[in-house]
Amino acid sequence: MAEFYDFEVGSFDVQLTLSEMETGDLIRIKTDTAVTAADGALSSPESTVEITRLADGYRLALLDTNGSEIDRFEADYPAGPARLQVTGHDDAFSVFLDDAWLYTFFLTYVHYEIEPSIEVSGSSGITISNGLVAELYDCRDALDIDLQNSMLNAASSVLGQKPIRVWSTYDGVVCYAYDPPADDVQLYRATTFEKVRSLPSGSASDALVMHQRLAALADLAALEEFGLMTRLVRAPELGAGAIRVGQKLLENGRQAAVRYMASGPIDPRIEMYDRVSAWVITPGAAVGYDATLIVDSIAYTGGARPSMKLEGNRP
Amino acid sequence: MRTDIPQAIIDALAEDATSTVQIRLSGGRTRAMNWERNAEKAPAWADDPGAMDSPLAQDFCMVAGMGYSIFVYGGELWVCNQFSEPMKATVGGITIDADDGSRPAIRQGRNESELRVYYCTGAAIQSADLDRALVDAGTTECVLEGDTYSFAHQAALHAIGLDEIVALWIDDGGIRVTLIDYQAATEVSWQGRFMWPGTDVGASLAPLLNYSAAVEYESKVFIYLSAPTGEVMGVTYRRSNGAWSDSFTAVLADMSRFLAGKALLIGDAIYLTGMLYRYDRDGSFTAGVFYTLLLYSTDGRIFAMDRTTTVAGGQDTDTFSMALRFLAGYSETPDSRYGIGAGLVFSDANRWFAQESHFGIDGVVKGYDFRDCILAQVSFGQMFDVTIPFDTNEDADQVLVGDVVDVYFGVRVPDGPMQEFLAARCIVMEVREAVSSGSRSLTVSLVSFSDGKLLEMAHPFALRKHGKEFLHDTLAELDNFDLASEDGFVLFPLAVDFWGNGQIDHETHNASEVKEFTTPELDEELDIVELPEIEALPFEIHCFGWSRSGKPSVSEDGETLDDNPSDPLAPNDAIYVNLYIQREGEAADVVVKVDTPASGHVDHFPQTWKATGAGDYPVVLEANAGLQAGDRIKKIGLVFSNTRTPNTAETVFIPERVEIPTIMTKVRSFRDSWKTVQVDNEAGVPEDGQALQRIGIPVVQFAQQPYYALGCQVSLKMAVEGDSAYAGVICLASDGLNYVAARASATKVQLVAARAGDESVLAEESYAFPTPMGWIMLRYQDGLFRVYVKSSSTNQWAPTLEYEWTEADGALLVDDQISHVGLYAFNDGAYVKITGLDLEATDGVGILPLAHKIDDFPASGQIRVDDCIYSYTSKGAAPTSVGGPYQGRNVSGPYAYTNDGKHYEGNATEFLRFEWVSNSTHATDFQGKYLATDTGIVWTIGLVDFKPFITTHKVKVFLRNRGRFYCARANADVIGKSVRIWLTDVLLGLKRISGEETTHRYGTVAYVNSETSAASIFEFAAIVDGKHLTDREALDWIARVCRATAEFPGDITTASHSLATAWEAR
Repeated sequence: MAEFYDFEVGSFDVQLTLSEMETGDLIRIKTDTAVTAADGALSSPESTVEITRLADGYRLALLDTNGSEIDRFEADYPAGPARLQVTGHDDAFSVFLDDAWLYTFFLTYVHYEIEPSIEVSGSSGITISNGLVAELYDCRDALDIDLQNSMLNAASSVLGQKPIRVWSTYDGVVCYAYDPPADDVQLYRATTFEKVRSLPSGSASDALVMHQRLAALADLAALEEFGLMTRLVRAPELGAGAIRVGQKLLENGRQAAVRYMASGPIDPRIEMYDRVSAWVITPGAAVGYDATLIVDSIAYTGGARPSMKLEGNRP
Repeated sequence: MRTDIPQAIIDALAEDATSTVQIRLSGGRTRAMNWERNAEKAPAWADDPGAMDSPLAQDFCMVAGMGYSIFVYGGELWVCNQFSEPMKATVGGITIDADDGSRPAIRQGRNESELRVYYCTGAAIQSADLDRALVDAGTTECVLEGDTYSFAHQAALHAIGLDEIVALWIDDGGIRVTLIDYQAATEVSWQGRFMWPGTDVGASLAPLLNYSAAVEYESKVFIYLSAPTGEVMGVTYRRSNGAWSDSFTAVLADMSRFLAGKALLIGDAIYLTGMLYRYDRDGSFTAGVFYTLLLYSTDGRIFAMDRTTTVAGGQDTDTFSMALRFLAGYSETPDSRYGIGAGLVFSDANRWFAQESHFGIDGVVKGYDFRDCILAQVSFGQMFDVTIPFDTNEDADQVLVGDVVDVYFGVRVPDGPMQEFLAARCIVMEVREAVSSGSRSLTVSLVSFSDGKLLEMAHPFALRKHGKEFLHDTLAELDNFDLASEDGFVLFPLAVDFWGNGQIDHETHNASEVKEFTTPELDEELDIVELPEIEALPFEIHCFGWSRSGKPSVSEDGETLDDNPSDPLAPNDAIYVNLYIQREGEAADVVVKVDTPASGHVDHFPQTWKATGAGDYPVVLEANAGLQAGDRIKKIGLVFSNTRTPNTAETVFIPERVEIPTIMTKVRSFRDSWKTVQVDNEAGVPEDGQALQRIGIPVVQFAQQPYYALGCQVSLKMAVEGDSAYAGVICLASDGLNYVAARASATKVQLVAARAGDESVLAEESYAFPTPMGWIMLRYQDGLFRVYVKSSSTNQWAPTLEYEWTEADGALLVDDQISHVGLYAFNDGAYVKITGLDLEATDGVGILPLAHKIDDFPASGQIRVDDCIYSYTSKGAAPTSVGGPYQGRNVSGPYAYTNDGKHYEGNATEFLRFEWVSNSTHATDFQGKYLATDTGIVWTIGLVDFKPFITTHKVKVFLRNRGRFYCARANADVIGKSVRIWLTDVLLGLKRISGEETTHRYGTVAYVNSETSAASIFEFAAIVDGKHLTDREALDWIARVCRATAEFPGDITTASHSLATAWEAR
């Protein structure tokens, strides 16, 4: 199979609602997805999808860092507010407006950063709203669900070995994230407290990531703390996304080396993956005890003495 | 961190660890299941129960709490409320005509006292305002006023506003959607159409338009249509900018068909009613059970199909089940006769049942409320138990598995009332009722709502969500492509001789006898892809050969020197043909005798001895009787029938060949398609690519990805030279013979459809293709093809062609399970079949008869034969009629004699071409023409001795089965009985340019090798329509289908941002 990639391929997904653009207005979606030359050498560290309003439609252009056009396409489309989506998937960059697919650019050689950065700029009169840069941007060709699967299994097949956190909220929503937005809860006054230190099975100082190629990652903090421990991460369908998977697995594993359990009165504000500073004073003790944990387990106990149990790893 | 908790609760819980917490469980139904409906209303106006190809055309609405139905039945408009019998509305006592099968629409009129109806009548859409009170009273004369909008299509109508309707109608092979502002008399149509690749969308599909729906939501009009292939397709019209979306799949087919009834907007969700039944597209089964469903969507694009969408079901023969045509309406205050509060009224041919709102309609859980529940522990993300105090069995029976319940924590705050917060929204997964020693308990196991939904939905047979599969390849190799068909072929008119079963010598028979020469089966004999098909009748058959009266002489293996016929006036044979036909549905071959001469022709060859008589060469017969279009010719028999009267005697005869000029054969070609090349691009940088080698046959190669593509974008970087070389891309390809191609030569761009290998140009534009190379791109979406060309130096795609697929074009795919994209290249150079080539023997090559493209060969040039390329210096024309093949006999000489007034000298060859004509006047008939053999010999003919003889024992014996052809190059004993000879076109002055083979066999295809007509390819990209299937998209889709709610808190978001400064998301 022909190769188009210098080192890594990957994905990104940007969605936003555009205010109405006047003729000549433009918006640029710049990513640090690099354009490389045939020999794999970096020729442009960034690429930009530029969308310019024309009288009857939009001009879509793919630019390198210098603003030189790599490709350009004009699509008829009425003026007015529209939902824009630009998705990069390996060497294909697709542009959608509302629910219409306008065009897909192809780059002959690309290089993705492990986690892409996106910058949206454009004519000053344009306002974007409901902007969204997806965290779970890794792409697949298709999803099959058959007699062997429930929808839960289907969701599991999407997650695979990826360390995506899955949790439910009080209102019945299921959440998925690599990095949950850990709100800080400054103080939780616990009545009991436990701390467990262990050599977590998920941690490692090194990871071999088997993806479309093979990469080695190191977690120097884990190396210092645990010594040399190696872990194999398989994500054969991914490119740059596999590196992210490996990094998150190492990070999560290292955090699990110290685990906290606290109980006390119910604080209904605390949600899963909040960063909680727990504090306890043991009766008769001269000093208290405190720690910060990323909550990954919450349980309420009812009855005459309602209480709450929290568990979580160190940050 | 939650921010919705009252501070008083937080304080109370924090300050007093012993605060009393009271648990309350509030829950209710998630389903509106109903197996009993008001069966007293016989569905007299319904066609049949179950799924129908011609569904009853009807609509339903709720106005002021009452449900109203409208029907078109028997070509008339019927209307009623749900508590009365249907009536035919009248105007001046005359009933209202409406198109049978067209779907009318009904909704509230200008106010609650009126109904507005729309219906189709031939060339117009009519509106009528009905007095609702008169309708309720059963007064047929209820029309207040009406209006007309010119619209010449039978349509399914949906009223999405008082004066706004959506019309779905069949538009030349697809289904168009038009949004009509009735008041302003304006309309806007979707640029695309609903198309189903394997379905010919014609008028017969019109009734299926009734399985459609439309609704407006968040300033977008959503239009849905059930596809014959099972899924529900959709398209949206966005009011803010007048943009139409691409078509999308709103309800996936799950080995099922979903027949939509009506779309409703209630609260923040779209509900779609309809009937689902299981079926297999290949026809292996159709289940007799159907399910009436109320599907749910919060975005209008993905509908939940979890078990709570089920409303009713039953056997498809059950006329009392709700599913004849399943509609619904919603009312906050339904008529008291429905017996419910705010809720849904389901209607089916005016039978109904009503159901109060269930979970999701208004977002509130209703049904039961249990306080003072006992909760051991709420563990988020896991199942947990709550014990419910209950007094009666009725209490216990209220709680069902699948109910949605909210778990509230109540906290007594200091100096205040009990305050609550929602601790968890859950689904009841299990209910345990226990009685022991006089006490009883009811314990429910709960799990968070979305988790429960994910767990619960396990019924898919086979759902597939497509992502944006693509391939991008620089074509240095073609290992990401598969040759579409090994059976590459070129087209030749049907011509066949009779040597397939062995060499053909002369034959003889007595009066009244019949002799048939039969070919082997043609696919083997001619090396063709398939037996030739008769596409049209009648057609001509041309028969070549000769026949004379008399006996064979001793020199012709006869028994006597006397070869005179027993009757000197006897005629030669009559000629006819037997066609051995392979006919669909017939196990054995059908033999059809064709013995009728075409107009102006006779049934015999000219006779030059013993008697002379006029005849035809060739004998032309007309084939018609006994044949059918679609028949395939398996074998051909040429029959010599010694039955001409009144004089009769023996005859001697020989068959040459049979030609059917109007029936084409597909002759295999096995040439390599591509050769690796390196060509400088516009920047002078060499690019690796592939140069087309094959000539005369389109080369079609499927990309291995995307494996199945309907809507698509396919592009190719290519270089072309000349008018007859093309390169391009294909889509909608089922195999190598059926596809749609966008192709370009150096001077034009074409969109081509191929069916069974026959290409037809759908659209064409003169266009100077960029040099040294450029791009071509084909985009297909919803019935619309667009072709673009781009110069690599300008990077600007120029729209070049646009074409809408039509009904006359047939189905988009010949096999709707297979739809590939890929590469296309075609060098439309001339080609012929050769008699054989042996460059060591001569420097010419003969052309087999019926070489329909020989005139396209340049006067001099190059040919490609197998893996060799030859140059040639000139063309040699055939005699008026190409003759042969004749059996060879010998090469003799040098001669020197005079015969029949003509002197002959030199070497000559003899072969079985007999024509007893005067040498003195005809000896030069073939002078300068050429004979060619299947051994690769080409000789220029000089004089011909038409009356050759030998002397045996000083007796002159004429050889009345041959001619003696003098050729300057004739020498050696190279022609004998096993050699076939033709008098035909030739190419002369051959020199090998490349290749190693020294001989090429009889029947090999030779192609013009034009250096100014070439195609090369360098880069390919193809991608399917639809969205990229990111993990986020996949998880969201899964959640929506099973009615869960998924959120992605890791996304980087902004509510609003002015681009006066950039928004950086890192």
